[in-house]
Amino acid sequence: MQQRKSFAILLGTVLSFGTILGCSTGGSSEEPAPSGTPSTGEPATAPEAEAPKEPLKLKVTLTTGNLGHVVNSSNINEDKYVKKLEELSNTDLEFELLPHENYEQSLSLTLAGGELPDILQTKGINTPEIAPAIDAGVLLPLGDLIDQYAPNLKAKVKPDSWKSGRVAKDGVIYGIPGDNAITNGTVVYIRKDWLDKLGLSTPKTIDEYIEVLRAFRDGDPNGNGKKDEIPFSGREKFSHTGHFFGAFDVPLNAWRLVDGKLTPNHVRPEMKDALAVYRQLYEEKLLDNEFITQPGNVWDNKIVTGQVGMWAHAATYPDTWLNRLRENVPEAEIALIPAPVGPSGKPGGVYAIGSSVSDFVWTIPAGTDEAKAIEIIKFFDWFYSDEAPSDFFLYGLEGENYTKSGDAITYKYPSVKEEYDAEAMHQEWLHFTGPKLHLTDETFIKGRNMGDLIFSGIQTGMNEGIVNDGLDLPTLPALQARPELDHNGLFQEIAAKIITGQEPVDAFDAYVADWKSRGGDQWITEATEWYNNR
Amino acid sequence: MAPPKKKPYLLRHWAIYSMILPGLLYFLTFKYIPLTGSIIAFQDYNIFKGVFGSPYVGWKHFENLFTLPEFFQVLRNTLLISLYQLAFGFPAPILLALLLNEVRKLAFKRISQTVLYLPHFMSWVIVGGLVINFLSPTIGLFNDFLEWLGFERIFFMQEPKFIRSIIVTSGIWKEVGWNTIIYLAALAGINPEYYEAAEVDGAGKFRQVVSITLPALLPTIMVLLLLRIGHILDLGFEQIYMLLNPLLWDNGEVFDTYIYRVGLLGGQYSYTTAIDMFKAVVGFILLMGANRLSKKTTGNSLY
Repeated sequence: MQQRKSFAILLGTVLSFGTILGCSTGGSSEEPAPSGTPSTGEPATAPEAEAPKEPLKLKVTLTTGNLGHVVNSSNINEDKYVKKLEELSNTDLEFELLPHENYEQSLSLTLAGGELPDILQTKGINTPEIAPAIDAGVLLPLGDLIDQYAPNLKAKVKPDSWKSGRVAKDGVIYGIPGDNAITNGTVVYIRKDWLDKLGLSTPKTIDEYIEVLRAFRDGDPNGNGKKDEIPFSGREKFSHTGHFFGAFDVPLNAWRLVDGKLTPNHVRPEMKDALAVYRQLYEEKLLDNEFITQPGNVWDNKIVTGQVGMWAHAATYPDTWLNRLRENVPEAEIALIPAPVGPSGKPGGVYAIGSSVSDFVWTIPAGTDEAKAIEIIKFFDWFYSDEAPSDFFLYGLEGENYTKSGDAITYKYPSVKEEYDAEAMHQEWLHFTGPKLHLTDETFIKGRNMGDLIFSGIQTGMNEGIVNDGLDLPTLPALQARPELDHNGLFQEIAAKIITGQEPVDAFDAYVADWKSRGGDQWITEATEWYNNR
Repeated sequence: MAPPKKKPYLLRHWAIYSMILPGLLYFLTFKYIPLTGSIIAFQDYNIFKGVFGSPYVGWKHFENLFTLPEFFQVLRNTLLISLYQLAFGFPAPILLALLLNEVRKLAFKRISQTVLYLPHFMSWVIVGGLVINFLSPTIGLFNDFLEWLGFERIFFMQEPKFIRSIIVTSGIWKEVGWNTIIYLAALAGINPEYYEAAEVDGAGKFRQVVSITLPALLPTIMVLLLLRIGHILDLGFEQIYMLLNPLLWDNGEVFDTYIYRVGLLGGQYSYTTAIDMFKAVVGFILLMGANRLSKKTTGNSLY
């Protein structure tokens, strides 16, 4: 430990020498040091500039994101990327990590402990863990501070984000949203080499999808002479399995305004039709018959060992899948294709279109003194400002992750997991808010290994989409009293039973009646009221 | 001169009585003080306002629980699984201890004991994963075996009728070795002269077990049984949560997993406290009943 620390210091010293040297040889004297470049220039600029401001001390509680780079770090506060961010933003960050796997529980425990950081990462102010904090006045209202001190935030955050229930309650803003550049980012993956081998074209409608899956089942696309292919696989709780729900306009966890009433999709009549399709897929063994009990890692393993013909996952991820798949099946190809078009004729999607607020919303505890609160707001504003070091967020550390000559940047795109983790570290994890260039910058994306595939995936996702009228709906009283009304409750049971054939499809009607009598009607009324007052 | 006043009994034996202090303190700090927190079952608890700031709502959460359509199903599952565990899980270590006690080869006994303890140290996350994989229709060893015998492959984890057996069996597998320890200790305390005398009288091995070993073990068995009954609704959350999925809720959902699903994930502190109180009350009643019954029938009791 001690040794590692001193090594880190040594390394830091060597690196900073390196950059100072680089500066003095490369930088021409008449040009003022641009603020965007790494500011090793302190000794050079200090004499004429006013005394450098003391770095702002900030305690931040946030998830590890399950990033290898974060989880395996012996001391995250000494990490080189964190150090760089501190240097660029003139802050002294102290991270307190919450495990990604049980984030909600750990957050609840932190809150129950009573000691709050300066900046608290949340999944939204309407989540069960955070919502009580608003009622108790524990979080700072940020509207006035943003108006006065955060011109960039105000201008560049999408107006919808400020209205989101995850950011504001009753018109009062409590959170600073992260930016979600891609609001519909989950797409259907298919084994292109299987399609080609069987002479099939890309399926479009539900029927065509089923035909392709049947061919996958019977046509022996992996060529081992055995009928061991899994045409379509998914995970427990219908996770990453949703595109047939999408085709019927009933993605789970989404709502639709029907006859003036905001109704959750899992009780709409269209859901019954969708379940019938899943039942058919299950019966014909087109859908992995283990998917109801299947944890993510088993699913993942089946895919990368080349057993699965179709699955759904993030549009920005195909290169990782393909690389891992090719370790086992060198000739594998994948394509990211549009989700099936349903009876309505409109393009579907895997999930409903998501919020423009990304996974996380940042909050500030109410006890913070005003001067500090202003500094924190300015810190968040900085991410959107012109001074924000987009090179750092996009490419990482100069000299290590990329080199620059003039305006041309040579970036070493990651190729192994550690490098992907490190990239996600500065692009996502350290990027509290601000534009997500790595998801929108076409040159950057296409420059990657398999960049065209990723770009096509993002385009596919953006082209489709199902509207969710109940986007960012808060937890309403009816749901608090009867948590089983949610799609994770009673619905899971009836859906699993219908699909596996333990109950007839018509059992859905009895389930809806039961759901309504338990307080579902009350929930619809409350949700509709929320919708109308939004 | 008056004779010196006799010191009160407690003061005279203060050294012995002071030994009770750590235990008393432990129960005060970790059991009785937290008990007052149960008051949140009658509140709409907000963790930021605390116990004193949250509004009282009376029996609302209990009404929610008792009017829940699944209430009796969850109660039935909890009681049934608990009874099965009592019927099969409780005697298992006694039986095993008796068998181990008869093993004469010391090396074999040591090795088998160690092997039997080991699963106790694995977490349910691991054991649950093992069980699911073991029973899987595609990669499961057990299904391979069934197929080899000429049977159809079975989706064990999707058939509600199997879940209780799976829970009880996996529980026994994991804990049986560990639970033998206390019985083996009790067995070691039996005077060997009894056995010698029995042998002289011509009693066989089986007769010795029935007439000497079991009666000697009975007090230990009774106390452990009574303690178990007090926790009859506490099945241990982890095991069942690891093994459950929506298809198995009908037969497998118990209070502990239900609390987790609606409570911790939904931030429903008050509701789950109410459920927990209900569990404790049922456990208390059962314990009192069993204790009285035991006193009447065997003369052994907890107090």
